[in-house]
Amino acid sequence: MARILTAGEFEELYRATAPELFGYVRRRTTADAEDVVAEVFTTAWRRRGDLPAPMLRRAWLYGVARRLLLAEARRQGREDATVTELASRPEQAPADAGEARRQAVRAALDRLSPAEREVLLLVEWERLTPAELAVTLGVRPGTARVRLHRARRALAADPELDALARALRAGSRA
Amino acid sequence: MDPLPWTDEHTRLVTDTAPEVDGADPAALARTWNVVRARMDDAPPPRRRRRRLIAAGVAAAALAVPAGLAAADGWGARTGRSAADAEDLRLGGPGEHLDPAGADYAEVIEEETRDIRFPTAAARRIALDSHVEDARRGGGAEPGTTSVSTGAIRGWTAIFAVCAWSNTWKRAIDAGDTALRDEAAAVLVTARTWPAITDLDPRQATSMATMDVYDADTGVTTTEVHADPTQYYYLREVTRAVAAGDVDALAASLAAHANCLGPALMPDFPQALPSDGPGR
Repeated sequence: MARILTAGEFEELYRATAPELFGYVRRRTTADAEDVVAEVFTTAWRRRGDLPAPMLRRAWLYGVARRLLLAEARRQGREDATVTELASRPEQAPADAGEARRQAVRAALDRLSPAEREVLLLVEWERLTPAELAVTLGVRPGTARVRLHRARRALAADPELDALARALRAGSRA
Repeated sequence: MDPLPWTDEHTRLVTDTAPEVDGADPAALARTWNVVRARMDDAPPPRRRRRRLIAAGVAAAALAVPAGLAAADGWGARTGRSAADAEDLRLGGPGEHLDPAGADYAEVIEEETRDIRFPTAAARRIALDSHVEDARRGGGAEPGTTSVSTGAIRGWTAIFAVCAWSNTWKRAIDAGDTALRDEAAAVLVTARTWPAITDLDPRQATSMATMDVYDADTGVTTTEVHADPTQYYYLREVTRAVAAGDVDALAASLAAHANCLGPALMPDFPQALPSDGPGR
């Protein structure tokens, strides 16, 4: 098992990962990101004996942040809004074709189950690998891969999303 | 698995929907670090392999307190609730959710852990008192704000008992007390079968997990293999060490994996405490 981090090493971990976590939290909630990130690292310090190998620590921190956001949302009675606050972000009339496409993709994402949407966004927005996804979700790597596969399959099967993907592919060939 | 109709275009479409958010500016990073740094000084010593404890604490906010209930004298630790779903069960452990703010919390955990055998009443007291201190320190003073499962409490208590019996085993070896040594060894080699342990980890197994690890700096993904032991897999090491009379192996396993609280519980076996923990 890895040696427990010193305060100096923990500060290095903070400097290396906090900016990404701010992005993650701000993409998912309008709550005060500083409060959430502070709680994530306070928890991490308290549990520094449980931290995984260095290459998986970022994912572990995402997992703590995810649970804090879930708990906060549940406390507020907004379970469905937890995984992503896509739905809560006010949609504006599309100003251009790109924005119209983004709104259509967001609508397709909203048609997924919250769990499928979360898996997809952790990978596509946060750039987590399947191994990191497993740590973040607290499941085995094989389970994470299956969930990602199912989520991608569900979204790819959405007719509107499928049409957009075909159009994009045709445009890039032209 | 079925062939996946997922292409680079799908990835581009989804990635493109990521909301534009302000990055963490240096001032926000510094402010947040100052908050964390201040809390670090108040944090208890690190604990290893107590995922269920901490996870239960993190998830506790999800447990809604019925409207109309408020802090009051006589607030009890027993809530009558248990895990609401599979994830709750996995994170928080089995059994009833207890409210550490309950006036009878100490009595309730004493009842719940009565079947776990300690070498002395004093060792049991140290173990149970640590739960109360831990809960109060963790913000459990406000009724209805946090909870911990009886399964988790029993699991940690079982490990405290393993630690206490290990201390007894070591003391008996040092004193040449073969009767006490054999009694302690007989208890320790059965620890893997205690209900408090098997309720949480019936398999106590390990496997090798293959993971693709992405390096954001280089953009390179490598495949790595890691051991993936279950929560109490190390009790197999404990059993082997005791059966072999190997004090050093037992110390190494406990120091690496168990939370033995500190010198109060382990006065004769400081080698079994983490080298950077309290009392070493």
